[in-house]
Amino acid sequence: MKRRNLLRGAVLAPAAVAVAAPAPAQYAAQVSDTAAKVAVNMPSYVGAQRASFFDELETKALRALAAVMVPTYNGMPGAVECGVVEFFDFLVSQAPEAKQQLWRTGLHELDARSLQAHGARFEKLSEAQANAVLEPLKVKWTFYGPQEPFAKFLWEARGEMVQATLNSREYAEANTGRRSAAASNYYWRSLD
Amino acid sequence: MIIGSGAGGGMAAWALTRLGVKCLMLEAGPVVDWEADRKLVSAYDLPFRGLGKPGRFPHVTQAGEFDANMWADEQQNPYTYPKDDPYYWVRIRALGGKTLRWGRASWRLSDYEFKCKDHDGEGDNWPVSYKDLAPFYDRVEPILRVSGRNEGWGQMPDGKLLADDSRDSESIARFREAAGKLGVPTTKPRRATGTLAASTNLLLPDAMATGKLTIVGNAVVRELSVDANTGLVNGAHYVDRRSGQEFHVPAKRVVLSASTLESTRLLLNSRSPRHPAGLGNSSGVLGHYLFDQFYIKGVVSAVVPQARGGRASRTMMGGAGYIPRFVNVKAGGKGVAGKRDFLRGYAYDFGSGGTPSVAQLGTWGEPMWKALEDVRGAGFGMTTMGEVLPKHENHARINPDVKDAWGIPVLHIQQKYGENEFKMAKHSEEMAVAMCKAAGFEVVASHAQMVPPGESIHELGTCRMGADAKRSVLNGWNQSHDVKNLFVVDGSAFVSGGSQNPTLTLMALALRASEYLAEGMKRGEI
Repeated sequence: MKRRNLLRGAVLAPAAVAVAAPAPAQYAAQVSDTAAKVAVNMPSYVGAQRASFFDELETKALRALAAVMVPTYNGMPGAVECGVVEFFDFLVSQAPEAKQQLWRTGLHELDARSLQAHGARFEKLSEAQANAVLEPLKVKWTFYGPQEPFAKFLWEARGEMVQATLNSREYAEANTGRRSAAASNYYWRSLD
Repeated sequence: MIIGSGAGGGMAAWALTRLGVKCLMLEAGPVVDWEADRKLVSAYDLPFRGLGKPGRFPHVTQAGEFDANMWADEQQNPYTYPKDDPYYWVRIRALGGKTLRWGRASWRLSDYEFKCKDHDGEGDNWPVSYKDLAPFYDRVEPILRVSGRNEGWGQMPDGKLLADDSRDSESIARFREAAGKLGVPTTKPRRATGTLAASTNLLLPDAMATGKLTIVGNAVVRELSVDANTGLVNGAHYVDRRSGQEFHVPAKRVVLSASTLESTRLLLNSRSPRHPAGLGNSSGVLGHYLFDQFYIKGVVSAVVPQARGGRASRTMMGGAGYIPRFVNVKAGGKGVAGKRDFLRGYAYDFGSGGTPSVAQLGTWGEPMWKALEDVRGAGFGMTTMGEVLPKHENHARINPDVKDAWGIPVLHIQQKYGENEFKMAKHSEEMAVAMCKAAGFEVVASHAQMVPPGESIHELGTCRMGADAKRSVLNGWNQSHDVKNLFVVDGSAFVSGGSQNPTLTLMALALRASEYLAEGMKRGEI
């Protein structure tokens, strides 16, 4: 036992010496050896989100779709003002292939139908023309929604865009001017 | 040894330690710190604004971004099912199990369920009756602090409840009156109360206080070991969840409560020369008779006209209620008379004060905002919970080709709803619409689409009780017919499920089984 303790002491000795070494005199007044308690109200991001998943035409179609589906209303920001275009660029980039395909194909179909019916891409349509292209949304409500790909895309986009708008910082701040008014809940940290 | 720390395992620990039995509890997940492991945040501070990472939980529709880390990871814990019959297996692996997130509805079963075959000739009776379990319900309800209202209806036995004498909102009162005119009984919800109603605050602290309980977290049990001479269970092989290290721990008696399908999986994976088809499976029934309760979420979504346009006041809107099974009930039960083209019955939850979804409103753009503004808080919704008939062909078996993150073979789960469930679902939609219309509500949407099997998180059966050892796995005390020192006290023991949420019943069964075990130990019989 004594020998083991002696060995342990020998192993620990250099580290102990290193920890115990005094800080250079010029830093002594500025450095604490205990972990600082940092502020807990740090913003989760600064600046604008950068899009990188959808190409230029897809992004234009997405922006126009967001503006038509979830517009500004009664002084409150709409989807575009709430950064939903950039947000979905990120969200869809993180999604399984089936969802990526649904959204890419859906945006292409949006332009294709606009060109066929009105001779212009979706972003160039008037409000009435755009609403006509979105007619597939007028299906009878079912629990799982429509299965036809274009209608399914529009159905999913509407639901998620509304939620992403209402859950945005921009909407929350416009709503009351107080951050605490936004959707909030207990977030579970990783249990590992 | 107790395996699992949820409703059944927690109850067993509570009961056994109070009777002086020294217990070791193995829990597959981590020990959760209710304070340190959670923090209040706004949706916009989460990467996906509360929508969650797409595709992370393909089978857990309940998982949101806030609580995503709480649910069992589907990559680490895979399972399989037939290509065209998806099964949604929803799990939590943490101390407390699913009691950390249960809906808290606490309804007793009645002899309409325990003696179901006597009523309609279908299926099998339980080896216990309501009279056997009633004293245990009486003791579990106060632990859970269940609130509700006793009505004296045969299909909904009265309980030891915190009396809910709250006044109904105008919309709820109007709905209840309309339902009553159609012969449909309505009552208050019956729920466990309190900020938290989990085994981790209601059961395990008392068990720990006895000094008789040791809890080991992160212990993923791979297999139960058996004495080759006696065939009795004598311990468990487990793997440490984080390090992958393998351990064996001896045990004189095992109380298994790892959740319905995990318990059965463990028994099926515990093969030995004495138990070649899995531990306690001489009947060949282990894994079979898988059932749950089918849910039709939002079977009807309606609007209370008087609450439109910002008039959804607190006196008019808000509150909730429950409709117990009201069809195919006879003497002693309160219900609607008449012959049905299906067996058994279904229940409803109903609630006032929500807002229909944008999809249900069928609009977009400015009309959508206007519509939302008009119906905000004016919604009335109902959900159907239907009884599913247990069938031998609905089962879980080991898939030897797929293993989890710890190298343990996974389950292949096969369950389909049948004609009886589809007919019942349709009837429930028709009745829900009729009641809402009779109340003067505007029906915005209705449907009879059952969620996939498993999604209700009320999976039951596969290790069922029974009087006949050739047709069941457990006897009337949740004790293995084959292995007398093995008890299974979770939902897998159920013979039928009714339409009532099962947690209260499985806790009452766990309490009864645990006291039987303690008594048997005292007498030297187990």
